[in-house]
Amino acid sequence: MSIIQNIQPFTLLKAAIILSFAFIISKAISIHLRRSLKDRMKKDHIELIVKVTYYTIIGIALLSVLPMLGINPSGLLLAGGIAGIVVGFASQRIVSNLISGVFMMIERPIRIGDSVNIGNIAGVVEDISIISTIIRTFDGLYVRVPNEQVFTSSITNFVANPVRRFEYNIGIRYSDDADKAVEIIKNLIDEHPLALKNPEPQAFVDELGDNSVLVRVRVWAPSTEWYGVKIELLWRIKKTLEKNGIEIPFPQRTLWFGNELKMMGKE
Amino acid sequence: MESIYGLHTLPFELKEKNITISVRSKDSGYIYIRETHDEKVEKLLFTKRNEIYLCPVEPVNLTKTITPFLLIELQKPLLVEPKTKNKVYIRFPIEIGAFFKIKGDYDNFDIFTFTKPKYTLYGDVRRGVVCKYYKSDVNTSIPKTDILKEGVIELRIENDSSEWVEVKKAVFNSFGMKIYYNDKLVSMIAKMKILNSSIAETGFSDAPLIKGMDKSVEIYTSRKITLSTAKFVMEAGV
Repeated sequence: MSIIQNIQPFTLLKAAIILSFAFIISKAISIHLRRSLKDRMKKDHIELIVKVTYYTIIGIALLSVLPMLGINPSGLLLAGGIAGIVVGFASQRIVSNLISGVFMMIERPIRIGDSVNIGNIAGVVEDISIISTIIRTFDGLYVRVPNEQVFTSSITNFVANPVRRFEYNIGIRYSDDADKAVEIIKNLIDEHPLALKNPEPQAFVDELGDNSVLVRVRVWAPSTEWYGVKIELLWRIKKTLEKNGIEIPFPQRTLWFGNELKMMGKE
Repeated sequence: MESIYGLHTLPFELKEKNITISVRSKDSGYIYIRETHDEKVEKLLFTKRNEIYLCPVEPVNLTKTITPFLLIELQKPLLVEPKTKNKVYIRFPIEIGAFFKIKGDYDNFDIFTFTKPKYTLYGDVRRGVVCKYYKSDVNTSIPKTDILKEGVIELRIENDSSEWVEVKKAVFNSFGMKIYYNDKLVSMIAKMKILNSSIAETGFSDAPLIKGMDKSVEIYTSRKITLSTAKFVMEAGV
């Protein structure tokens, strides 16, 4: 009672104003967070972030007005500080994952449903929670990756762009008509619906190799469909080239001898 | 010869050029058969409805529904004078949908086409959009078309800019397409508002090109998909 009696009305008013201001600010930030994270995170994760932010602001405001009211918060801070250190050490990784999760929600390098490669894990993103990311690998395994690992790993998102390119190197015999081979390949690309018209596909003689004339083929396809297009088109090219008498040669080497070999039994 | 488009009472058989569509009674249901020279599709229909509706639908469903956008490349570019309104006719590919009619709602169960589907990218690799692709000539009057293969878009071009603009392509959002048909023509009326030499907005008018044409079912409406916008802003060039 004596403490409150010694407080000037102006100081009390100032403390009330600071607390009210903190309350308004925390409310405004909470509303802003809810709105801005609405499409990026699950509702329960948003609520967790909002509550932590809200009570942190109120807590800071409360600690700042306590000295005005004649209460020395140093003891409280000391106890809180020690407790904070203990809790901090214990939950270091969790907090790190949580903060990484929040940054991921903001940066959004991956989304649910994306085909990605995170570090050495490749698969489809099944879920992104505040602590971890769930990946279904292409061979159907469930992998839980802590967000800290996701955030610090190099991420390849296979479907971040609407289209992607794939490439073949097709070797044909030196005796084959390379112009005809290129024309056949171009026609096959043109016939495939999902081999995109633009960016324009390419098929050209790229190298005169040791064993074959190398035709390089570059095709763009929608990112979600590229793999199917790649395997389908490659088989069609192989079959059609063969049908037209153009063969993909085995590695071979012609040897010329300085002294003509005499075949045993012929002499 | 009975037109392929419209309501057909079960059972029925339609033969048109290189396609046969039939629905025959089978046990307690029906069997739907669609047969072309290279494809045969059979579906068992267990329905109490006795009518099937066939009509042209938005041409963005085949080979796969991977995009709602249709890009039509013009065989010859169009030079449009500043501050003028022009009208040209271009062709679009047709896809045909088969629907059950249930109390005014239409449920789609088959889509087919006689045109070769092709896709392309509009814009750059980072921000572009995949579009269904078609190449069309440019006509100043309604061209003759095979109603099973091609429809006609009346493209009303308005050049709002103060410069001459060369139009080489048009990109449309299928969410806004309003297709009308009769036994001789399938059509849409589209608008292109050119804002400058590289930006234009496209959209559609909900009106038939010729009086008395029937309106097709909007497939996105029939699928109960919430449409965000029916227009398309061509920001990567016209």
